[in-house]
Amino acid sequence: MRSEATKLGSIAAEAELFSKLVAENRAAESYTQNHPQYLQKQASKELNQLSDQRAQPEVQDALARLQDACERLNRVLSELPKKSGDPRWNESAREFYEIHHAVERLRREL
Amino acid sequence: MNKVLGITLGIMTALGGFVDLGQIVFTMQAGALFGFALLWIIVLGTAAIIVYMEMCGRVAVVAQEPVFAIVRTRLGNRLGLVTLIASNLLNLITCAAELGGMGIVINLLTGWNPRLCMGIAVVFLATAVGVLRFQWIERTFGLSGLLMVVFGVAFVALGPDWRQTATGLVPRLTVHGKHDLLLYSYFAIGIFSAMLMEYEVHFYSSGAIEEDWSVDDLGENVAVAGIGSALGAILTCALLGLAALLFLPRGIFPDALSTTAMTTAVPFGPRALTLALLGILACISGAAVETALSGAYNVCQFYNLTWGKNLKAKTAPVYTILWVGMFVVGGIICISGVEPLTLVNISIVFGMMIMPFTYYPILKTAGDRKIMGKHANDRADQVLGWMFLVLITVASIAALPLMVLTKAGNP
Repeated sequence: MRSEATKLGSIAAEAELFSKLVAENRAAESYTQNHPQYLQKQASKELNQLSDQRAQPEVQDALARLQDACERLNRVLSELPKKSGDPRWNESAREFYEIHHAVERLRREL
Repeated sequence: MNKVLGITLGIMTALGGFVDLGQIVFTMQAGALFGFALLWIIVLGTAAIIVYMEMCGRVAVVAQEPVFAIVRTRLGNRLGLVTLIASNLLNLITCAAELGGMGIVINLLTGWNPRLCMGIAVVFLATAVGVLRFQWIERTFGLSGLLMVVFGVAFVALGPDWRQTATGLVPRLTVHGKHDLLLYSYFAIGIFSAMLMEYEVHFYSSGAIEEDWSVDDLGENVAVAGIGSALGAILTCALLGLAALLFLPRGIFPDALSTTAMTTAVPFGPRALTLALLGILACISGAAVETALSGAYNVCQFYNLTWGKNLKAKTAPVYTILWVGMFVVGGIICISGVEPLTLVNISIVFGMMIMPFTYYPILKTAGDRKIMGKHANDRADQVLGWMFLVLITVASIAALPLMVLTKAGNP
């Protein structure tokens, strides 16, 4: 589960960096539109892996929180704006930051 | 001018060889996990590939024997055939991975369907190889691969602490815990393997014969192997450095090809990002061409059949069918949905496992005075060659267990 938390945190951190770059108009338009699908693919894979996991009673709560974070990550990734410079990118970056830090706290607990 | 353009064989071999899909992602993952701590393995791998590239170029020129003719002679028919099958399987897996990587980059540049992009990649490369003469293949892919310089410039622009960077040149264990130690070893071996991928020497030695190098060109052989590999090494160091500066502090473990290009956008913005994608496209196209042609070279050289990119298809029919077949089968594998990075992980470890069977015959032949005369290895060549062969053998034994224990480099 620690490994999944590390990967999930990594995807959220990357999505945060990407969103900040796009918000500042630092990414090419086609890349802005197409890179998120690769992040989503990774996040969906993690969600599937977490859904299949059966945790011991003492880490059941942690698993549920990790699944929630992963679902939130998938949702935010699927709702990203399409154009660079859109002010909603800053909002997305903030959400990714929150997810990353929530997952990181969880990872340290495990 | 021809001498300058002659260096493109080394540049294409090195860029397509060790700045390919596997190396780009693998090196960035290593930088994201261990910062600059694995810089030394890039230096070691570069020294090893220069030594062996020069050796196989020299053997090709003096003995007029490319790598797989040597493999057959030195290992015998049975072990030679096993090596041929393993090497060509490796070439096919790598070719499929590179074609898949091309599809991803074309998708990022155009937004077209990724599988359609993979199909376009196959048709484009097969046409380019079919139409162009060998010299133009190496010039086109070698020189366009230089777009990767954008990664080096981006690294410098980020203002790294050079003293801290230099600490990575000395091997030292900075990791704690069993899992981190295994990961460190896995990435060290992976980077070393990616730099010494067998198809580099298959392609390079065949290229020397394609270009009609003579004994007078032996000096050029040293320069081509040295300059091409040094350039590839500098770019590899830049990839590691970018990941150390941008991914490590943020806890990002790059697990997609599309992530790697993002590093250039941080200092320079969208144009650099597009250049980085084009550079990656050029390098992995070069790698796909090298693996496809190497597959054809290997079989023809092993069975002593007519081969040569500059010959008409009718004159070298088996050779032509084989390289076209490599593209077609590689294309089918990647379009069928197998992840390019999964293929890359397999190819790096599998490549390491069979590596001694390619490099040992080169070393033996290059040191054989009966064949090489006054151009045989001197003492320094022999010492370095054996030293690297021992390292290659140790790494080949450790590669599979490390892959299993780290679940293919899972952090």
